[in-house]
This record gives sequence, structure tokens and C-alpha cells, in this order.
Amino acid sequence: MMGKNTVTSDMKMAEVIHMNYLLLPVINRFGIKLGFGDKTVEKVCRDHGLNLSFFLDIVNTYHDPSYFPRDKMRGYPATLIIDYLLQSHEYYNRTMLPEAEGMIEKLVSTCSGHCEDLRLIEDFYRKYKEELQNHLSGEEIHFFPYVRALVEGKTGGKDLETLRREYNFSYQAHADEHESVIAKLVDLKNILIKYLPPDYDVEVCNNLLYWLFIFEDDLKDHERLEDVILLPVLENIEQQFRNQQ
Amino acid sequence: MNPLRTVAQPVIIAEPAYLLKRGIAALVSDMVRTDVLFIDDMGELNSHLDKNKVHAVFIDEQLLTDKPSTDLFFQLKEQTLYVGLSANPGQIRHKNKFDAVMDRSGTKEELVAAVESVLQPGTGESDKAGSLLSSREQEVLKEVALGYTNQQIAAKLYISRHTVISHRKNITAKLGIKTVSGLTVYAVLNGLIPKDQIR
Repeated sequence: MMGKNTVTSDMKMAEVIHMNYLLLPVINRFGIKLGFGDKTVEKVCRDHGLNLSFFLDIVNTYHDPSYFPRDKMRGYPATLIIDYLLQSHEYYNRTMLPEAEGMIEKLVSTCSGHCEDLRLIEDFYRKYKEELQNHLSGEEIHFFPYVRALVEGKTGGKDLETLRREYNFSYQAHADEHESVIAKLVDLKNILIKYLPPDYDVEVCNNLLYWLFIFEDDLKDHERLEDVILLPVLENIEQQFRNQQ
Repeated sequence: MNPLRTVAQPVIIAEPAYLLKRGIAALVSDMVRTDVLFIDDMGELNSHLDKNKVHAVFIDEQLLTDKPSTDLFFQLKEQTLYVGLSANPGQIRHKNKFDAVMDRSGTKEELVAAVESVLQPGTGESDKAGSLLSSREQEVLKEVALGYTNQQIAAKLYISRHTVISHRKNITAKLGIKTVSGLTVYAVLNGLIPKDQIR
């Protein structure tokens, strides 16, 4: 599955960024900052005490949509995956969502005509932001701790159904929330691209759209990691737990 | 009559019931010029999808009982459209993985609408957003934006719930907007409902 554009351990980290600058925030999530000099990916990972193979798989799944070694990735510890997902959450909360909000506010403040229409889009975004933040914090409060409790055996002698209830976790609700947060982001993009009233600042809106495209790609990769890797890993853990009981 | 659009990649119908699969094939052939393949063995289907590009798969949910083969089936094939066939489309399993869901016992009109929504999605050719939708679709959209459920809309417009769902699928395919809140913004932007009526 290794294409010529795949990130490999012997590449220089600087080359990786030249190859795809959109990987910067992904690399940051591993605690890596710029100024790598001529260090290779392997060296940078070693310096930061990272799991090299996991780093490469994450970076490559973001870089190349066709790269997705499911079976291999399902072999990583659930807690390693969760730690990474949490870093992404922080990035969405700290950077992605507020930046987009700032751009939308600017779009409204620079409006020269149908400002009511733009305010409607702003309202839509604000509600979306709230929904996504609720979803993310729900995962942090319920879903991830549920997985951790099973992995660490901190289950207090309870059965799976009780635990799921206590941690408020259900596969269906999780899937529905994922579907909704992606669908609304896609809707927002389409509303802007196809139906935006003409009295808006072109530059501000273009920047907003670039940002939303990047956000959508990031969020989709993030949710794919949860849905296609973490959830099957969790199912295995649940099965083992049942077998032990 | 417009010439049929040609779709280079084939459409697969994974449906064991003979009449149903022939019926879907007929609907597909009425709408696009393409090859139709019948495969109702999951192993064979997955191996075909792995090796070939496919435009759309119509699959009976009854074939999706074995977890490993179902997971494999849904592994990201972004260019392929997934259509589920179910006796109870509202409750179909893996609902969020399908691009469209068809009712096995639907009327011809509903089935045509469902096949259309997948094979002839709106291409946004018209610049006038409002004119993209038929008047019935605009009525349904208005009710959706006002916050009514499919059941309530069906009762208000004297149509079946399935027809409402078909209209909604077409609206989404034409506008590129899927969620109720997104559709509400569209409806206000296009003057279908006044802003103060949003719930």
C-alpha cells in the first residue's frame, strides 16, 4: 500500500511538511513543533517518545485517502488511539471552531446589504459549534472513560449493560451524532458555495471556505479513526470482557 | 426525450429475490445506460468491489448479517453509492452508511424516486436556487423548515410518509443540503418561509 508519496520513517520531517503542509496540525497533536532541522521522522518520534508506527499510520491516513491499513491499526492499544483523538478534540475546540466563528463574525460585520441572511448563517454556525462541542465533550466524559474502564479492568464487578448505561454509551447514538456533525458542516459549505447572497466580502468568505474544507477533511479522518478503528477495537474488548465474566 | 446518461462503471444489484432484482434492474435501465450485474453472494460481492470500480450497489439488508463481510462491504469506497433495500426502511441496519434506502414494498412512484435520487442527483445546473425544486418539493421543504416531522407533513399534504421521504431525498440531492437546520437556512434565504417562523 506504500505509494511514492507515503510518509516513511527515513524521510526528513521538514520534507513531510513540504510534501503536505496540511499535516502540520496533525503532527502538532503528537506534541511535535516546528524547527526539526534535518531530523528524520524516526529521530523526531524517538526524541518525543512516540510510537513510530502509529505516528506514520496516522500521518499517512490524513495525507492519502487511500491509505488505511485497518487490520494493522486495529492492533494498536485503544488508549493510544484515545490519547490521539483527545489531542484532536483540543485542536477543534481551541483552534478550528473559534477561528471559523471569527471568520463568520467578520463576514457579518463586513456585510453591505442582506445582512439578515448572513446572520442566519451565523446562527446556523453557532448552533453547529455547540452541537459539535457537546458531542466532543460527551465522548470525553462518557465514551473514552468507558473504553478506558474496560481496558484497565476498573469495572467494579458490573456487567457490560450496566457499564454502558452508567457511561451513557450506545453504538447507535454515537453513529447518529457522527453523521449529524459531518452533515451539518457539509451543509454549511454548500449554503455558502451555492446560495450565499451576493453582498459579502469575497476575501473573508473565501478564507472561511478554505478553513471549512480543511476542517471537514480533518473531522472526517478523525471520525473514520473512531468508527472504523476504535469501535471494532472496543467490540473486541467488550467480547473479551464478556468471556471473562 | 433526453438521451440516457451513460455511466461508465456498472451498477450491482445484490438481491436474492428474483422479481425484485429484475424490477430494480429495469428501473436502473430506464434511467441510465450502464451495465447491471447481479451478485447475491457476499464473498463474491466483496471480492468484486475490491477489484473493480462500481457506480452503485443496491443491496438487500438481509445479506448484511455476517459482521466481517458487512464491515468489509462498507469499507470506504468513496465513489460507490450504497443503496439499502429493506422491508422497514426507517429501521434499516447500518442506516448511516447508505446513500439511500429503498422500501422493498414501495409503490412504483416511490421506487422510481429513490432510484432517481441516487442515479440522477441534482447537478446544480440552474443558478436560480428556488427553481431547482418542483412545487411539491418546495411545499415539503417549507414544512420541514417549519419543524414538522415526516408523519405530520404526510398528514398535512395528504401524501404517504414514504412519499414525503422520497421528496426529502430529492430535495437533498438537488440542493446538496441534508440536515433540517441546513434546509431551514436555505428556505429562509430563498423566501420560502419568513425568518420569524423558524422554531
